[in-house]
Amino acid sequence: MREEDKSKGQLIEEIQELRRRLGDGVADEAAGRETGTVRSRCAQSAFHDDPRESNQLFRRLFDGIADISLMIDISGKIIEVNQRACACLGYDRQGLLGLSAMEIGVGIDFTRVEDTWKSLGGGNVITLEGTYRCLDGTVFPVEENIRAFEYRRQDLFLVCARDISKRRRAEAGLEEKVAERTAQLRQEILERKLAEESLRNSEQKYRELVENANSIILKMDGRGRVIFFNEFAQKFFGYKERELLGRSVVGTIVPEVDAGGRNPGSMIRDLASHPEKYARNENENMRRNGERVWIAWTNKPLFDSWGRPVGVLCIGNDITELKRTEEQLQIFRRFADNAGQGLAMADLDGQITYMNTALVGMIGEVEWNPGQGRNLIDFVPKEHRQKLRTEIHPLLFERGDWTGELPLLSGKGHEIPALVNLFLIRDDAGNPRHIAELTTDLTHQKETEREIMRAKESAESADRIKSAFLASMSHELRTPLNSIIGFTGILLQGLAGELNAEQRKQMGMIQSSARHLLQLINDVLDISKIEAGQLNLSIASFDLLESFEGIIQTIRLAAEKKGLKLLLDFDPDARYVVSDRRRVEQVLINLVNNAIKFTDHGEVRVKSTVEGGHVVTSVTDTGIGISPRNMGTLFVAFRQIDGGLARRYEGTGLGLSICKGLVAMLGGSIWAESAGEGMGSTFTFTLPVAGGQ
Amino acid sequence: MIMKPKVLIIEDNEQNLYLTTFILEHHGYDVTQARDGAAGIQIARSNHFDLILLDIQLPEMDGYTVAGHLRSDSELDETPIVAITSYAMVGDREKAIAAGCTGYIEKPINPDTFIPELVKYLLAAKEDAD
Repeated sequence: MREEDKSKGQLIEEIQELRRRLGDGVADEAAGRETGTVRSRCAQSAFHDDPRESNQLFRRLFDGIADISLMIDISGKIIEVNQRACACLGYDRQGLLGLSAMEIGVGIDFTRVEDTWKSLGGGNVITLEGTYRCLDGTVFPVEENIRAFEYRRQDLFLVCARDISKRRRAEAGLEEKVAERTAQLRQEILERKLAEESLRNSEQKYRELVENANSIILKMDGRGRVIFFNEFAQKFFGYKERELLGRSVVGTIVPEVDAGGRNPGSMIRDLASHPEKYARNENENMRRNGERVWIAWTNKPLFDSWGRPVGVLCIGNDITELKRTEEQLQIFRRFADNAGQGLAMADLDGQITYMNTALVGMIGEVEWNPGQGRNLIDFVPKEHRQKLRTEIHPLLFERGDWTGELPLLSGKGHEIPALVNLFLIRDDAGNPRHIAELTTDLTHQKETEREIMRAKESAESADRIKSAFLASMSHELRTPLNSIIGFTGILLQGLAGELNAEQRKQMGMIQSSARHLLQLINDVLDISKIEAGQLNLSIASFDLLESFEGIIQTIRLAAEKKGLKLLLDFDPDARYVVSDRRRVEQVLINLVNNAIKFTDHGEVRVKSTVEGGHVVTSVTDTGIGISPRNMGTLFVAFRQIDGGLARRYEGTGLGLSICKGLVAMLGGSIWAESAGEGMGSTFTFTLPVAGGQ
Repeated sequence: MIMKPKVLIIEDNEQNLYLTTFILEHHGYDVTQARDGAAGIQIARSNHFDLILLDIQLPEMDGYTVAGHLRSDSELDETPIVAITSYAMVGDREKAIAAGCTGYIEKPINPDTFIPELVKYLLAAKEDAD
């Protein structure tokens, strides 16, 4: 050991120096906590006695220092080391002594050693961090405390260094954690930024949503003043946002009349305490131009952080159209409910979905509700259900409707005669969706029909009796007339012997009266046949000219007896007609006979022409004419113009009435014209050329 | 010498039967009388007649039925049958023709036109036979 080589004196000096230094309290830093102990021990005895012992003590003390301890002169050469230094740096003592401090990495700047020295004057300590290099080249971090002291008039540095690898490692761990945390924070910041961005986007979206929503969105404060009013609302109500902001809803979009003097504030408080009552309500609101609109509102009270109501958020949708439709529907419903006929609607299976009051009344019930689960078939009597299924139902679906008589079965099992009209109600695509039923109660009608039928039967029966009576009377009257007319004719012919002039005159009167009586019987029979519609016509085409000429020929004698001219003016176009010859002749004979009967001077002219498919025949005379008073009753049976005439002019009074009936049956018409009494008259009748039936 | 035309009158009313018979015989006809349908049919079958005058309103068997029976006999299907009808019931004329009558004369008969009408039917029947 080099220490042992040193002279004893030298060592003593060193110890003394050390003692001095220790006495100054400089060494206690390097010795750590043990310093105190050392000092006290030193103070007791130790170093004075034996320099060798003192040297050993120094060694022990020096080696006992837990830090790397180095003594370095100002040239930077290491002049003393402790065991710890050797252990840490991997050298033996000899290897270290004389080595340059810079070699192992001591932090003293030896290029400016004077300054360093000075700065350490007065017991100052420099603490540095650095890196020491071991013999094997490995390095480790250290913290070194550097002091300056004088030893044997030599300026020296005492360097105490501590391996801070552990601390560094700990520090490094900390930094790692810090870095990790920093990264986390960065991430958090990034996420927050993203969240903020997303929030901004979302806010934008919501703003756009609110602004562009096809709903009215409005916010009002606790006193009912508008604080937000979206674009849709502005357009809808016709207010600009700035016109409405700060104004009360009452008097603007809520008509004052409807508010009924209620304070919007109290309404809002009510709303806040009973939100369910206001969650959804329908109100009639008003546009700026005064137009009333119906809005369905969803209202949500808004509260501040103390829970006090501060306003309401209202979202509204225009339901005006809906309301109107509803109203129309309501009206329609009332119309259906109150209709006098029975109305029912059913699904395609016949399950009834609606019945009106009239139908409910018909089936003898007081009330009906959809829950009763009734089917249309329930109201059809059992014996008609088969028909409904196999006949009516297929027809209904084939043609879309069915109408017919189908009795209605009342709740008490009575059958009500009814006329039923069933029809399908289709959707826009034309698919049947519902069956509608319109029921007319025929009870009253059926009764009337039965009454009419009874009346008709009784009338027909009376008619038959009348006809039989007339036929029988006619036969019974003719049989004796046959004898009267027949034998009068034979006597007048002189077949039973010659008659004298007086006998011939009286026989002629009998014959005339008998013929009049026969005419009367024939007319009565004709008129009753016409009235009963029992006159049979024999329709065929015939030569009207030939027929008329024949008649004129027959009657001319009678006309000439009265000194009258009888003329026929016949248009050849009127020659052929389709009609009943016998009846047409009957009419003309009647009219010409009448004309001759009522004319004393002048002529009777028969004229036929064709006009619009009809042969128009007129009989014009220059006779007594007809007063306007008598014109109206001319064609009425048994009404010969007046009582006076009847005596002067023979007749049954049925002729014109029969003519009118016959002409009507032949499809024509008949009328009379006269300029007045004494002015003559014209009777005209028409016949369809092609027949009337 | 021209044969007298033979006429059968089926008529229940005595006065009418007398009237018709008087006129016909006065005009040179050979008249046979029957007072009901059954008798008329029997007489018609056992004799030849140039014309049969048939009243429609007969008791028991009416004129339509009598005409039907007469027409069903092949011997009689050519003989003109003239119905005497009171023209009282609806469709009497049509029914008479449908039953097989050749023609009809309305009651009451007119002595002035009665014989000419009968001659018309006799001539028509003679033309058919020729």
